[in-house]
Amino acid sequence: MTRTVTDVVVLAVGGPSDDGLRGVAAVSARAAYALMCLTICWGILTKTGWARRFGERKTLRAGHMVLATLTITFGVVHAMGFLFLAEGKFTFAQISIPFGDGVFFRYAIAILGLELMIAIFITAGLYRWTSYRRWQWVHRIAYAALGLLVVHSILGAMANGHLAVLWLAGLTLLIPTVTLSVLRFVPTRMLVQIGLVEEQV
Amino acid sequence: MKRSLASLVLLLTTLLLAGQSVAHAQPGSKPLTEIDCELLVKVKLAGLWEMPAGEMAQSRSEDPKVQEVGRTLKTDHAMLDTAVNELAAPYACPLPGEPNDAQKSWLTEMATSTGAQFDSVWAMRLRAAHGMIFPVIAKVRAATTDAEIRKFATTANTVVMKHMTILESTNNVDYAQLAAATPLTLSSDSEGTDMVVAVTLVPLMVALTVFLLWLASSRNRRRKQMSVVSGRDGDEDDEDDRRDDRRGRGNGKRSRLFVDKELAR
Repeated sequence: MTRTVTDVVVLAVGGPSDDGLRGVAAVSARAAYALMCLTICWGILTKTGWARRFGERKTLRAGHMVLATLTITFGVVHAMGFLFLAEGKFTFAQISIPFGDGVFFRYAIAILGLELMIAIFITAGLYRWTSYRRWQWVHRIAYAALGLLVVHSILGAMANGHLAVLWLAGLTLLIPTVTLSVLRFVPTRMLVQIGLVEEQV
Repeated sequence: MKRSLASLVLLLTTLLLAGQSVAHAQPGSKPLTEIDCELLVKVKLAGLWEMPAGEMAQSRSEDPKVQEVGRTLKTDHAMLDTAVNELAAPYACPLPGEPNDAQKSWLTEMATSTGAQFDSVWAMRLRAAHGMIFPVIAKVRAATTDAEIRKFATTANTVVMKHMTILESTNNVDYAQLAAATPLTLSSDSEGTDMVVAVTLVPLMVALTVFLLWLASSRNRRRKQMSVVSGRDGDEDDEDDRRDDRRGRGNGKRSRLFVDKELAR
């Protein structure tokens, strides 16, 4: 039992010589988390028109795409870092297949989340070759990916013993993201009633 | 809609309160002083990280002395853990189920160390943690009015003293570093400060987000009104809006917002 607790709770990745690499992985993970929240917020604000005063829609969309690109880049750097550990390094299969040997639950959900993000990123370019509704449903998988990656971040911070330091910043970024995501699916009539949306012209 | 929303909120509140009452109903109901309960919580927390640490010493250390001390720590804490569980059962003193963040970070530090560095980290972290709980035990032993707690404090005092002695016998304790300011604090958030911050932060951030959105939509509305007054239709946005409208609805009506389109469907 205690061994299970040790294996699951404690981060047993890398050794003393991997400190630099672990630092890169940690920083890229934090950057990816922050950028992921910003990407989703910016996407919702762009789509709903709430961010209209910040510029034209094309500009806002371009901002959303830049944020998404950075999120995925930092996410990939974080994942790839584990390939280069001196002690207990991961194989490519372990960072790309969610349900293989030696893949803990928190790694599996991260792999799924990142791969969903990459799928959305690729299909975003197919906008002109598919029906809008189908494209939109694929794009909305980002909310599921957000959930998976947030859970991964919490479990990862717990395993590394950083939760006490990071939870406040993580929660501060997460709350507006979740609030906007919820508002995105609230019926328009209710949004009009509380004054968040102008009435249809 | 308002009524159904109110019902939903009421239902969620009821479920939340019911959940809390169930959670609080698990421990017994006999009163226990704050300091007595703190002792039980801290001994429980100590067991939760020192048992894995003791096991880690046996599997990761190459020094037989460290392995032996690790075995003793694990056995003693298993005994103390049973005693704490039995003692706390009749009292209204909820015990933690997992190590706190600081203790997890110490375990992580140990799990990522090898050889002599492991022996040093292992002995230093454990010795420092025992030093922190020592005054708490002494305080309870001196002041408690509960006979059972007094008996337990005597046992805990003996065990902690023994552990400090055997940890020092490994010759891995650097006494100069014990006094240095390190992140070795046994904060378990027993005061619930983090919880208070979280509970305050969540509604605050939600309110702030909604307020900023309301502010943004008010400005949009004002801008639109001004453009109507000045003769413009205020609809000079890019072609994407039009394409979205055509794809989304195709009924000829124009909408400024995606959410409006959703309603129209």
